[in-house]
Amino acid sequence: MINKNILIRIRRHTFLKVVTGIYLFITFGCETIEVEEPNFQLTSTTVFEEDETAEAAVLGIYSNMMSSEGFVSGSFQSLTTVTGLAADDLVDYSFNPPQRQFFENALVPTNTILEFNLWNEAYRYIYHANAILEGIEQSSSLTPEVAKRLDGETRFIRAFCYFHLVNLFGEIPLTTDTDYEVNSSIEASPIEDAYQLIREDLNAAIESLPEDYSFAGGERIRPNKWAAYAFLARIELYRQNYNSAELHASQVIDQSLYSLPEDLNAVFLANSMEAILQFRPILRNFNTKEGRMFILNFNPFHVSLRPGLVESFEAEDLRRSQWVGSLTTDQTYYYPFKYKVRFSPTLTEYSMVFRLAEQYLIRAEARAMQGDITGGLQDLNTIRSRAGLSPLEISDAGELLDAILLERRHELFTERAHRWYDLKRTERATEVLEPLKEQWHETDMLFPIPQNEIRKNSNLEQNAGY
Amino acid sequence: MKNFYRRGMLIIMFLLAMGLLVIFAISQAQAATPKTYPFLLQKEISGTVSDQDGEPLLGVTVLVKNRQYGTTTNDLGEFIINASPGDTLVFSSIGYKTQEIPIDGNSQLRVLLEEDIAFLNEIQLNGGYYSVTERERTGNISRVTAEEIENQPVLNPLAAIQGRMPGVEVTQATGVPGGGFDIKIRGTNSLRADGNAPLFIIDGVPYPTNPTTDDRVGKASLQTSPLANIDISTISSIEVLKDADATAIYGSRGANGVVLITTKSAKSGEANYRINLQRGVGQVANRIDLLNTEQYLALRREAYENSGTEPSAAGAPDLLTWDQERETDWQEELFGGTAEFTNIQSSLSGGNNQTTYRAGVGFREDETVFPGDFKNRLFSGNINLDHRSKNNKFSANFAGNYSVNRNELPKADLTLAVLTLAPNAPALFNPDGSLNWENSTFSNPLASLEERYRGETNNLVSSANLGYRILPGLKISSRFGYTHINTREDQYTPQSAFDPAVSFNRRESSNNHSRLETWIVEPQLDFNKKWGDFDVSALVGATVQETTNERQVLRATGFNSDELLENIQAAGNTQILFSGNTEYKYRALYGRFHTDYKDKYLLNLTGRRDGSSRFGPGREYASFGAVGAGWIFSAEDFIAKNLPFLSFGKLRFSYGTTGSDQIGDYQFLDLWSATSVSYQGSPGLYPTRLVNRDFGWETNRKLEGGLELGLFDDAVYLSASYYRNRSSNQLIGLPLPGTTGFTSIQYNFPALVENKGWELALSIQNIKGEDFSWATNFNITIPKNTLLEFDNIENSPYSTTYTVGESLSIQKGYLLNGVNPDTGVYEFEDLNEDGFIGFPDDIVDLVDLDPEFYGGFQNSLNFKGFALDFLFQFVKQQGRTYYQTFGLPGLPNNQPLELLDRWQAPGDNATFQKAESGFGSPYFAFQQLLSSSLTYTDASYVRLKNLSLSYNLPEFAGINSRIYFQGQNLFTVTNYKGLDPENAGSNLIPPLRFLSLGLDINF
Repeated sequence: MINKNILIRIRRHTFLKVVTGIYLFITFGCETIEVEEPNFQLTSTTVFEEDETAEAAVLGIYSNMMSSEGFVSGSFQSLTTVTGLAADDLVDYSFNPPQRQFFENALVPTNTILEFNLWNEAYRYIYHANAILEGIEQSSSLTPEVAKRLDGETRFIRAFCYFHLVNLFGEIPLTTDTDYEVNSSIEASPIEDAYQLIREDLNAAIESLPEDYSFAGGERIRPNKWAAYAFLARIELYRQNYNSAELHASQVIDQSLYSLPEDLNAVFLANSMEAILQFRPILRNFNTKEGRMFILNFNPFHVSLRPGLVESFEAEDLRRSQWVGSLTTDQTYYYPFKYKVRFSPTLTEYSMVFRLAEQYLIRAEARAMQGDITGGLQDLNTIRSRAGLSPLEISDAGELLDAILLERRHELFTERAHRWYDLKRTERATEVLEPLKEQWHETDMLFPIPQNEIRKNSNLEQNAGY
Repeated sequence: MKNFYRRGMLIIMFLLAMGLLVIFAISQAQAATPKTYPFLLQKEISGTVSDQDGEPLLGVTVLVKNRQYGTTTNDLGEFIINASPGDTLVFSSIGYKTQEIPIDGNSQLRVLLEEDIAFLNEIQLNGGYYSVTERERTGNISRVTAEEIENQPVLNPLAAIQGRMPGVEVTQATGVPGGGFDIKIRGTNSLRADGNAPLFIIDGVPYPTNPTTDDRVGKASLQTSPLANIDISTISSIEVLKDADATAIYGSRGANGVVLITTKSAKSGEANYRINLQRGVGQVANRIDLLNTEQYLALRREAYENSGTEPSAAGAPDLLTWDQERETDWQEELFGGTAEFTNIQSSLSGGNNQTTYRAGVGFREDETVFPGDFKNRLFSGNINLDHRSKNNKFSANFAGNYSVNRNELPKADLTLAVLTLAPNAPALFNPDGSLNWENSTFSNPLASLEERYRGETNNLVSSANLGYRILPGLKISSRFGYTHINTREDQYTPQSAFDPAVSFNRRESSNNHSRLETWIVEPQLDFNKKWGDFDVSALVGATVQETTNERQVLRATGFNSDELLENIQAAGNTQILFSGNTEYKYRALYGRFHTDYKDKYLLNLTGRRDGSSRFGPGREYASFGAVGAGWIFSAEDFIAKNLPFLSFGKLRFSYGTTGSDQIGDYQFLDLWSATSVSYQGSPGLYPTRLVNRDFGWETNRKLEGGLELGLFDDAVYLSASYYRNRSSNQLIGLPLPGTTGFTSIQYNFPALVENKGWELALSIQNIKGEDFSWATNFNITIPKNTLLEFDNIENSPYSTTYTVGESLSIQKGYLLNGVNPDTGVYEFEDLNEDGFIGFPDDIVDLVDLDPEFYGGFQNSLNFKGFALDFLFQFVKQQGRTYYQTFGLPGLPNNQPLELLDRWQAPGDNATFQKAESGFGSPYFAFQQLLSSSLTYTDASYVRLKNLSLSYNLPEFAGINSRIYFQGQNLFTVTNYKGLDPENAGSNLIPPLRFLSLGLDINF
């Protein structure tokens, strides 16, 4: 029966195709062989013909970022984990060599997390962003407003990737198009050039992005104009342009769209008033990957909070009681408890990317650095009071700065890479980490460029110390 | 009863007629003078002569015995001759057994000549689109026949040719039934690891080599091979085409050689029923000497002392919480079992001169050596019908092979866990039979066996070949082929595979449904004619082929119970990991022109023009061709006179081009795919790859020279060849730095790879007697692979992988100077003298992993009803050591016994460095060791690959039966220290040793 059907089928195909096939061959010899395009893929021209597909191209970056376990996903091999380990926030319980190397500050350039989950993954999103920017530019059929908004959003994402790369690796190659011939032998650019590119992208984003979140379905899951300002404030703080940092932070703080919830347990809820940008989790049955990873209900097999961090909280600090969880088995283990949901089919928490408290702390630091002790102290105390702490009375700028940095540690721990970047930009890493880490070297502050990367692109140079 | 009378009457009439004839003959003999022909009684006898396949034979000499006259057959195999009833006709033709047929009053004869393979050079070889005799071939074709295949208790056809063909290197990837084999015909041509597979053709239909199983369903470690779906008992021969002359007719797909599998066809004659039963066991033939508990724990403690740290309960349960006295031989416990297999086949064949049939069914079941009930079953059915019209003009052949493979094998290969598990690790099971997790301190290796895998592959290979002889010497035919492989696999991860104390809901099921369908049509015109001393045969044909591949891969999580895993509706979350189809179209024109002059000088031209949808517009087409020539010098008078012992001698030569399009579909399109998850309510799109629209065909130029000699009536037959293949325009995924957004791009790289070598095959008929015969076959290949050219390699990503002038299998690494007696840490040669061992400045070319030579040595002995056949397979090669398997000595992994020779105190001169539990300098030195000179070792071996002993039982009631013993991989002589040198350094179960008994009945 089967055979019969097949034969019938073949015969039907056969006769026409054989005859035409032979005929075409003999007459032309080389006409095009047409295959149908695969039904599960689109060519790049098609993608940017219509608003919907162009929009999907941008959403694709978030989908990929959030389905990954690396880079900015907040998951096991993300920079949340590895910079937390490299700094003094987390303790490793994985005993997995590549992860362990971060914890012991003994990275080797062949480290797989470094290569696949940080470097390659970041550049994959950058390529994706560059492809979108090119696609939008070459398309004539997109609605101009949509094209402009998507352009701004894509630039924001590219800036976000470069921000992390330049902080993790130092001098890095800056790719702004999709030409692999150029990008495969590209040289690293000075750090300032990276920041310049980030600034340009963010300024373009500020120009193009809307002030509200309606384009994101009313959810704070895609960057708007204020997210770009918040990001720029952070950049300027890092670059020690305190005036601009203060200015941009104020622009965000002044928006009525954002406020600090009284309840610390409300901060990380989906679309909380404090959120400037959150990433929406994509794993069904789970909420954030941070919640899934950090919350302990048995002995840690991945990471736990470093006891030193827990001990550094003041006794009445509500963040100690509400944002730090603990589990006692043979000993007591602490874990970040900002995200309360380990798994649940109902989505109530989103992964925080930019929030208002950071803006207060940016402004506090920028003001302190500009000599505005009162202004700085006021912003600092705003954050302290929400954590149930009494306001500080400080008159010395240096002392204030120390207090702000400690506050940053207590406010922002395990939210992506704040602690590691703070140690680095304030040049306090050695002071803080040397007593804790046997193998600490000053050069550990920059991760090595992946070995394969140098192998494939001889124009790249290894960072000092590797 | 009626029949009985009729037959009886016929016999009586026949006897009467014979009696009259005898009387008449005697009287005639007396009457006639010897020189006088009995013209009066002569009559015209006509008939046709054909070969076993029913092909009419041209030029067969038909002689009347004891008389001085005769005739030959025409193009249709027809003859007419005058003869008397008492005469006997003698039919003879080169390559066929001479047949004598008494006329006995018949005036119409249909004669079937049997091929005579007494002379090796008269064997017919399958060249794909044509067949050619060993004598006339100008190309290089090796063949293994059913007889040799059936001697082996193996599942995969590739296993059956291992060690039996020169120039064909087969390696078994894993000892798991249905697992993959790697075949390389004359070396590695392409820099792409997946671009070196030959073309497989089963009964004229291309057969895929890529697995239809999906890595995402988690059986990747078993590396399934679609060829394992073919029941090897249905194979009548496997031919491998190697040089340009043989492969150029396959054009773009011939670069890596062609493997032609022909299934058994029917033979005319009385119905024959055959049943074959076989049962046997397989086991892991070798063990590695590992540390015992005392030695292991000492090493572990030493590691902590050396690192200056205290073992913690979390990091060292083996030292702190587990029983310090306990000792288990995990190799015995976990892969010491036997894998039973059962093999049953039965077939029925028969037919008459017009129509023959063969139908068979088969069943094979294989278990694994792992504990638990795991099975791989293959059910197969096949049918072959052959028909020829009475006038011999029309012919038709239908072949169908259908098989169902039910695979219920473990998801993971336990070998790595078996070798590295601490010898004092706790018991696998609790007293109540549940898995023991030892209070969450033990990751139980049996947990992975809880994860059930179930795969079912339905496989159909069918073909029809219709032909019509339009004119004498001119035949039109067409082959229709259809292949369908349908795979469905499910994998279930129950909660029971995880430590209940430390696990959240990790239940998961994944599922792959894929369908691969190929149809092919090949119309062909064949022409044969003799002009004087020139014998010409030519063909021209066209190919139209389409392959579609559909695949859907799902993953479901969030099940509330292990019982619900098989019901995807019960999943909390279902994710489509992949869903889509691809299409491949291929068309070609091919031709062959063959001529010989006086049966001495041979010329063969083949060519193909190919178009493939895998290339972008303007790049689809390419032409390939080859020329082959031969000189049968033994047919020259001066040789025949002066070297009478030389029964056959031929020199041959061929040169030509072939290509490769093995790059996957749509590579030239700039495509975006949908993400498998949604953001803001809808799936996103992402760019799939970097695009190079201009890549084109990879070309492979093959040159070959050969000498074939038959001595003493071919009792000694030698075939030697030298080949040189050069692949250029290398189509590779050019590795790119991550800054490009991807890690590679499809690219025609200006690199030239050469494979050259010598192949030698020798067959000797040592003794050939009525009762006793003994034949020996020997083959050896001495290959050499060289990367001849590679522009600007220093600045390419390949500079740390390849060296111009060396083999593609060159391994680079650090030079080990030994263990520093003071520090106890490995030291490597600091080549650039910067005081630091680093990559890539301190690496050198270490070893070439290509075999230096390989081959086989086979003997067949027959004594009365006994037949003994054995094959030794040998390979001289370097391979990876097993150190990578065991990891850093000092971590909680067991280690090989040789680790006793490690550094322990200053001043020690040890082979291995000190034990280390942390990430100090020994850790980094160990990482470097894994790419250093200590990582490679001699992995040469000689293996009794196959032994088969059979005895033909005396015929009983018309039943012929044979009992046999077959063994595979019986013993191996090697210096290699790991489980098996064949796949040195692998962490998979090695090829098993099989012992089996069988019974073969024919009636």
